[in-house]
Amino acid sequence: MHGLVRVENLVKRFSKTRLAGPNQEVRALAGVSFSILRGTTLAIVGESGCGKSTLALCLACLERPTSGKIWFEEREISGLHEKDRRVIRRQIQLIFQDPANSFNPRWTVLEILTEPLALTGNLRGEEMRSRAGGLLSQVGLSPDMQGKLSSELSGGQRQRLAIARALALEPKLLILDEALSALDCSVQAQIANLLMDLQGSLKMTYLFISHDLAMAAYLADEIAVMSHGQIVEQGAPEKILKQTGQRNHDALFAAKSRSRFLPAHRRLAACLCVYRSRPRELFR
Amino acid sequence: MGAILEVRDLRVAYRSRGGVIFRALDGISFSLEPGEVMGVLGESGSGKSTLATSLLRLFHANAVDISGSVLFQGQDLLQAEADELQKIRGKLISLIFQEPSVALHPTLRAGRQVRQVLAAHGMNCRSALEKRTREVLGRLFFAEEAERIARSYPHQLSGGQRQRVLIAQAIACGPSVLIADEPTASLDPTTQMETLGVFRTLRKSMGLTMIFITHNPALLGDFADRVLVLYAGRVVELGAAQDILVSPKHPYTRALFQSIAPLFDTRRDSSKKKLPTISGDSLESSLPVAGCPFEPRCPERMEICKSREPGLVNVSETHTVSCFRYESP
Repeated sequence: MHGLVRVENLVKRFSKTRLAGPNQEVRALAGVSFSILRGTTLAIVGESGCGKSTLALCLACLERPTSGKIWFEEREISGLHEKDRRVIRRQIQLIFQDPANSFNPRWTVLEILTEPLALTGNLRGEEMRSRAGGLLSQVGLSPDMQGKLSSELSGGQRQRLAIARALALEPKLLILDEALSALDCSVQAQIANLLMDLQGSLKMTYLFISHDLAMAAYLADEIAVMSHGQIVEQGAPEKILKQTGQRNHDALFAAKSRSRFLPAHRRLAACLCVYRSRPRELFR
Repeated sequence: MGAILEVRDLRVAYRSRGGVIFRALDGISFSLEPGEVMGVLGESGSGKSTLATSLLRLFHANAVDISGSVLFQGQDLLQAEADELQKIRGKLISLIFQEPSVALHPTLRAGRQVRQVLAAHGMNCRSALEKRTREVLGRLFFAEEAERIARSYPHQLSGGQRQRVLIAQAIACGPSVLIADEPTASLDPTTQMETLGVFRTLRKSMGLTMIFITHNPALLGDFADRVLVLYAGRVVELGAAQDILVSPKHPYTRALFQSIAPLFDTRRDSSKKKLPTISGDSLESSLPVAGCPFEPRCPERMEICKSREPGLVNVSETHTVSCFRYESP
């Protein structure tokens, strides 16, 4: 099986302008390498500021990496011209944490969905409406929602709409940047199931970026733990969970109370575990 | 021991622009002993933020049909005179809001914002203000850090530091009750753990009574004494934290806990299985119905749930649940 995406030694530096003194340089990505196989999910977990979102932007061709290479379907895309990147962008769609902020509040559901369809330029009014209806039912929304505004939808419905909009261009890779983090537990489960269904039916490939280790372990085939712009641990979910020591529950709590003395990425993993677990597990 | 805060049959409704009445809180009753931490668990739309603000009589302009009582040390805050209430807000009962980036003034230094709270409650000696501010910030930050934080503007601080400044404002006047509305929701997990640690320390050192509102049950695990589960503005379950978190009784609480991805799933295999979910959408349950508000989504619904609203039933001395399943015939 071929990898859909391959990233090699990706580095991204930003320079921070200061009013006085020399500009400061921030290294958001410090040599990241991984690959994702077609139809699988790679989860990237880490604290805020570890470079997760910069990685997402580089992959989606919205930022150019400082150095390093990104292959998408065996084609190097980080050095392409803007015109060629535009074509690639259709095949890699992003879904953000807060769907409310990623929609135009004055647009109806139909308008939100037909905008990407209009870009492809070969669909007419009636076809577009029926395609929009098809997309809505694909993500479990009722097709007669087309006339509503995004503000009239609940958080879960909005995130479903964001997924439908991303699917409109039939992308090959979906980048989910904290896509479940802002949702309630019960809604998270619904959207997680939807993502799994879509992966089954469309053979979709996901990059799932999150700070929720339990959900990452649940959805992903492989997990990479990031810290300070680097991948510090990578492997199958079972392996990562085992390494962080929460099979033995006492060890987890020991890790929590001593967390200040643990290496950064171990501490992160311990906190990630406690932060999201079924309540009963906390009392075992 | 007498309760420090007692809420009796609190009801708040909102009128939407279309004139539709939406009941945000529908008969909430509970009481808090001094020094107790109560976790309020609820998803969006359950009325948890309305609960936080109603306890201090901070109502939205479109709030209608406010009834019930909030007794603080025997005084009903919903009936109190405005100037009486002003002396209680922020001094005896303080509230910590969800978004630290929105709650702080963007163009005032953090130290000044803490001083303002003290000044509003009658401290006007400059050196005393300085001293108290330093003391409060010293409680929440390392000594060498506190000085710098006091001189910083909110945008220069990280999310966790901003949250601590908000906590500093809340504890500056030495309150007896602290209401925290999703204080960790916008923070990443390590910062969440740290902030939770701050609350734990404060509780010990100041003997605070706390209402801790969240949508994440995992946070309440080793922190809350009691847990109240809210659904559609009603108490569906109330009891000792361990009772509720380990053996929840109400179908909603059970379904909610089931829907969280398990971390310690020993039966994990290579084939991916689905997470159990609660069918339907919580928006639908805000419509006024005759029976139990959870009935349309409930996997264990019975005939009676459609027509009658269940009352609170004791399943043990410390655990009450609002469900017909547990009513003795």
